[in-house]
Amino acid sequence: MNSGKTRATLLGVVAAYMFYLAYQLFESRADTDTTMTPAARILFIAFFVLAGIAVAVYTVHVWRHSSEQEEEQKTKDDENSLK
Amino acid sequence: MNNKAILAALKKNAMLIVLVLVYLFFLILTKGSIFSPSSFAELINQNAYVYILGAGMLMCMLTGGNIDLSCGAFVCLLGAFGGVFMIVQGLGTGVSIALMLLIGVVYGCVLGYLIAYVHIPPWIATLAGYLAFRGLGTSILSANSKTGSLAPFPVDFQNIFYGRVFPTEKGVFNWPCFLFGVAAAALVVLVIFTTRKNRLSKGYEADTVKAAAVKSGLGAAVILLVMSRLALDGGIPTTLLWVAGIVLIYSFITSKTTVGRHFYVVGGNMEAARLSGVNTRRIMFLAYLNMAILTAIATFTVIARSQSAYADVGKNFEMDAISACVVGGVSASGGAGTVLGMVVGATLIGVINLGMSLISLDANYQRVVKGFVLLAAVVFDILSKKRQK
Repeated sequence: MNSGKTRATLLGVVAAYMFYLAYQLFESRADTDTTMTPAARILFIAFFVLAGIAVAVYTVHVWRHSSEQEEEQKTKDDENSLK
Repeated sequence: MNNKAILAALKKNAMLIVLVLVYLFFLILTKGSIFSPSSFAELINQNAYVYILGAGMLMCMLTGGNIDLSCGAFVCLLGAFGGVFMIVQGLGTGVSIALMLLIGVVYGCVLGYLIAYVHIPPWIATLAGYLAFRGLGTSILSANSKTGSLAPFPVDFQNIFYGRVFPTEKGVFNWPCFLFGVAAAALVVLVIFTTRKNRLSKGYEADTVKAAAVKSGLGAAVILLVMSRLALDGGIPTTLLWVAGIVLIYSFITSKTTVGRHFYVVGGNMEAARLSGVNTRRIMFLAYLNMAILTAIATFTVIARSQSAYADVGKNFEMDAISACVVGGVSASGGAGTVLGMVVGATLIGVINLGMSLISLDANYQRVVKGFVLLAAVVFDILSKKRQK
């Protein structure tokens, strides 16, 4: 696995963690002894969902880019071996 | 010193400066509570697992941004085994520690083999552990206890991993602790100046005498400050000795040994490393074997501190370790990062956690802050990568 793809994996984990944080905030909505207002909770859930989507989109971009680079390198290596 | 040099120094030490600023921020917010001797001890004891797991995660990430998602769940499983060995079966502390380390080694060998030789992507191999180990650990605990947790661990086990060396009453100045700090500070000064002398003698670029003096002075001052605060809290925590030992060993390995440099080379360009004669498979195998062993050591400190093995132990540990590395400047693509950077990252996260609990910040807001910190570190990494291109 090339370093671009492993970087994409790490970014994917971060994206998943953002969704997980949003889920944790959603889960705690029944908590009565919290100082977080419902409006603030909705705002932060929305923020983390959007952040997760943004990082996930970037992850796909990094993955695709490194796959293209891998293909290009493979083609170059094949051409060189034929020469 | 011209402006360019100052700017370069600020950039190089950005996270350290952020750490100092965050600490000062919480110092004001907590009205000085974060500066109390017990807070220093709590910072080390509460975050020992982050430093230990962070060292292991650093070695994995150096090989190319690879991570271990199973370490938190493995802490739960190993804790369950530890509880069974020491509490249920009544085996001796030494025997139990050896057995737990053996389990760690076996897991590390299996994981390392699957990743290095069978070429299973690390995130898939460790995801299996993340999903399976907590369930296994919970089953073992449920089968051996009505409450689903096992406690208490033997006193000698707790003393080894959560005790004090040369203990005294709290509030009484512990001189052995302070003298240990003096020795450590002297060692830091010696190492910095010796490294400078060696680099100059081999014709490499080195810090000026002024820069080396400032670096060593600041390092020594921090060590003396921390040890003087701990001296008022009953002595040197054994957790600090474990953390310091591991940090020193891994600093040495990554900067002074051939195998340590191979981790950087593999992460920089695996194909080039392989063609240069580096056994890349062995390096990958070692990274995950090492991670499993460090996870075992982290388990000891965690269960000794909590004095019990329970199902929720180790939750989110993998994210804490990854965050410490990312915040500390370890590259997500591999090939760059230092143990000191990881320590700064782990300390920053620890200070934020401790500060938030001292001001009794709501648990939900604590999650929000942690999310922001991780997101900021990732954005910083993305922007750095773009600037490099």
